[in-house]
Amino acid sequence: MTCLSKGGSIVFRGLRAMSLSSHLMVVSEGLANTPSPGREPSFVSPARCRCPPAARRASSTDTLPTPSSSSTASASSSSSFTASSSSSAAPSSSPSSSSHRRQFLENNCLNVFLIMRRSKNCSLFSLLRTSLKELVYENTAKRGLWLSASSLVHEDLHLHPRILSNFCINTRSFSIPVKRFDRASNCRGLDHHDFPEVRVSNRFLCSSEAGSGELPRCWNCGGAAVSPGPFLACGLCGSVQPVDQSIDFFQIFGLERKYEIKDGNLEGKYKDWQKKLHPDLVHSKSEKEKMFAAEQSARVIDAYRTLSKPLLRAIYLLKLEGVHVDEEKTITDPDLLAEMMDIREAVEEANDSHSLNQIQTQVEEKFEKCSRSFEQAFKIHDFDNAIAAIERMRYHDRALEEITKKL
Amino acid sequence: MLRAAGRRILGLGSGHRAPAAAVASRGYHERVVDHYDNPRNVGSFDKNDPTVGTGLVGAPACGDVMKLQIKVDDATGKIVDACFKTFGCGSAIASSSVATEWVKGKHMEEVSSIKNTEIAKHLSLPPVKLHCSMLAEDAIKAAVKDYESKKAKLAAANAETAQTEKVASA
Repeated sequence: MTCLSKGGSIVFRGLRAMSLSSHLMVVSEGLANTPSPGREPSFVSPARCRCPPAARRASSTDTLPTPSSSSTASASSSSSFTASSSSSAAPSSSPSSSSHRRQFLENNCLNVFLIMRRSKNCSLFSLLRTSLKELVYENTAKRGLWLSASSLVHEDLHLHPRILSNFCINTRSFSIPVKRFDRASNCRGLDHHDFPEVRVSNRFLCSSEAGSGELPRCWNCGGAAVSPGPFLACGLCGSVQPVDQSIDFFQIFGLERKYEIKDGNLEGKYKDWQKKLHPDLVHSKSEKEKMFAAEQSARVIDAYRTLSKPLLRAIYLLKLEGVHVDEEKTITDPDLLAEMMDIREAVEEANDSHSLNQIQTQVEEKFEKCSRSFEQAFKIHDFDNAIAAIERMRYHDRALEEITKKL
Repeated sequence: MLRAAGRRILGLGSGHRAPAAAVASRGYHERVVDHYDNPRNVGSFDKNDPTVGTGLVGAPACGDVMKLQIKVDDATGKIVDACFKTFGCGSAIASSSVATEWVKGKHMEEVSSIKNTEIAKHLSLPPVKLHCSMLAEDAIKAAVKDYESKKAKLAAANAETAQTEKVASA
């Protein structure tokens, strides 16, 4: 640790005088020159390829609007960041140094993150992202924290050049207990879909702390989300907002996350949303807003469709809980299959609508029963039974489809 | 008449019946269409017949049901006849039809080695329909298993009756 800190402090002092953009050049060159150990190829390539545009961007964007003291602070933090990155690029395979390095990285990432947020300088985003990636994959205790931070960085990179103001996270949220973030890590399939899944935990914090934390802000007018409900379109200027994956379908319709939806008035709410979000309404607006409108209204359509069908609603509910319904295995439950076989045969043989209707009511009753059993199982979080109930529901649903086709 | 009944049972409707090899990229393969138009081995055997094994499987993803029955010659262990009944998509119907064709005349052990990949290749199934061939393979295995368990039960029952007879006559 001492040798690292010494090296770090030397670099620190040396770089303090330089401006931010030249930092970037130094860092990228340094990283490009050091032989990248097998662990961190991510450090070298993105930095290298992102350097030229980033440098251009750095020179064109405003330098820190904040007073010079914070500029030195930012310079110092970025230099300490570069120190950490260069030291990490050096072969530090010993476990003790890797943990120190990690801590170093963590502290620096935090600082740089906040500085970047204030300064709206995106040039360091790429570097921050790669270091965050490393932190995430190292599976630290604060993994959830870094996952959410990386999702924010990812989001901002995606939406560059205009850095979004609807940044919910502030310094306070970093100290929020880890168990909140555990939601993200408990979601299955996290490894494949890190970013969208993590935005769930991040934004979930945000929307639940509506009063205390920062509210999402409109990208167009900067107004905060004032009205209750999900922030899909700005209340002040009417601009459609980008899709926020963490707002689940139930939130869009203002419903609780339950299977039973009584008096949900899905259709009314659906039409209300489409009045604000439909792509036909944004013909004259910018390309970006057209894209937002297309995505948002598609999402609302998806939500409406999913929630209005009981089977899809059930599957979605389980998905939100992180339970994946495995649909590839064949099932050999003789009772269910024999029953379905009989029903399907009866449907085939029935020729007049009267008998078909009879069969239909019978199957509908059975579907209701499965539906109830799903609800029971879901309430007590008995997911195995819930999945079994879903299977039965699907078979009955299929049978009902066939009947409808024949009628 | 049988064909008409077969059509009804298979749930054939106006469905997607793309012309055979013309629309190569998006249509069904001509073999699948052939099995759909000219279904072979549709029907059922008596479930309680001791020489008949019944395999009943389902796919949870699409709600398909497939029933495959084999008639086995007890002496040689060969499958003399097979029939199927499937409620599902064209690929599922074709897969089970192919399965019944391949199973006929083979020995029971041989039949367990029929792989879904062979069926899929024979029918040129697209990736999204590979689970149909999997279903067919599982149906074959289930039918064989059912036959074996029936045989075992029968043997056990016979042994018992033999014993009781011995006791009675003794």
